[in-house]
Amino acid sequence: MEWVCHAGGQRWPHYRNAPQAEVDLNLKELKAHNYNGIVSASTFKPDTFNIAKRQDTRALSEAMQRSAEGTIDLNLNGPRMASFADIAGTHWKLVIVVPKSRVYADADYLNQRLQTVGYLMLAGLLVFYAAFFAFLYFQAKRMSKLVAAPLEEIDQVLSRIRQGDYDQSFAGSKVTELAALGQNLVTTGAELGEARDQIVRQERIVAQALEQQRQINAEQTNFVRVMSHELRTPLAVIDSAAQIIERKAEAFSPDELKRRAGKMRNATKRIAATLENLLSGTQKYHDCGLVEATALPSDGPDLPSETTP
Amino acid sequence: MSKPPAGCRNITVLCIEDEAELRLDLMEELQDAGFTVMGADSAEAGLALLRAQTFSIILCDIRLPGLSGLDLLKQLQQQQSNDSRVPFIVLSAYDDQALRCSLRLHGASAFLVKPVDYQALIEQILTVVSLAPDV
Repeated sequence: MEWVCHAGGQRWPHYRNAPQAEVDLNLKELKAHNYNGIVSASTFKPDTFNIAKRQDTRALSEAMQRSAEGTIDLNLNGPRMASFADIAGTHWKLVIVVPKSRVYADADYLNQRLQTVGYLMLAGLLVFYAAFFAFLYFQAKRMSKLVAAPLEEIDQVLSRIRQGDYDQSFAGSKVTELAALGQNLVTTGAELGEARDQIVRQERIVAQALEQQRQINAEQTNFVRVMSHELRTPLAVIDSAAQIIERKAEAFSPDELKRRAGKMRNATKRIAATLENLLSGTQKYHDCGLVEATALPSDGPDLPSETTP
Repeated sequence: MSKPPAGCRNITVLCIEDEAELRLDLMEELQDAGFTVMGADSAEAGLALLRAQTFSIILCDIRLPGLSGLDLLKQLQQQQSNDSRVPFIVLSAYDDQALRCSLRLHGASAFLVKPVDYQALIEQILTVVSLAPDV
């Protein structure tokens, strides 16, 4: 629609596209209007044709009053944009009113295209990321299978080693680090088993040595006991005879004294024989590292093994 | 030896010693001291004498042929009640702490290591007999 308005206070639209303007302004062109009669009545058209008096166009009229040209938004049967400018050499203003949608049609079209492109890009990104994450998911599952099975086997190997079963094997893994770890574990288990066997062997050797030492100690203790007995008994005979002679020497005849001296000498010979056996046994001990207790006189009773606190 | 105490003659001693010379010396010394002494060369012989008569005290070697002195002590411990138990003095050439403990456990009154001082032995006999309930 294009309006041509007079610059004076009365502005009358001239329609170049009358039907749309009539729709916008809700007017009906007064085709049968008698201008002569109206002029005589000082009135060309009713107030509804005056943009200054209409509520919906008053802002346009005021804008036209304020400036020679400009644009303003109106609401005339929908959103409209009005653009006005003075027509040079006249007192008329040209007003062009168009629907806003038509003014921004290209921009809207571009906007829609951009939106479409944006949506397409978004959809593309979504599809890309969905595919990417799906790929990652399946890769992760595959990697998980590659890692989980060897890890479980490693755990079982560890558990068996912990229970003392050191001879283990490892099926291997496509993951180099896990394969190395499994093999190292198997090797470590074998080394642990070897170390344990060595400890057991050492313990056995030590136990045997301890038992041998215990037997030697027992033999030595028994030897000392036997020696004590074998020396103390003839000593007791000598001491007994000496005590009696000491007490009763005056009462004894020479023969009796001789008899008792003979007892003492016999006992002394027993001690000498015992010492000789002792020296002989000691020599044998030095020769072969063993005490030959059987070489010593030993006919004593078994000593009691029980003790009391 | 000093004059024996008046009560010695009422004390009968059983002397069990396999070493004949030592047993004879022991018997001689104890008889000179006033005790009534009988000798045995083994635990079995000693047991036979114990069955035949009553003794105030037993002197016994540990190492004996057959039953040992400890075996004899155990048998007597089983046969005799606490009130009628004959005091038992051990003479031994073994000086062993475990043996001392075992003898003490089975009721031995004293433990003397050979060689023995006869005066000390006599005093020990008198002491042990004086402490015995049935003497």
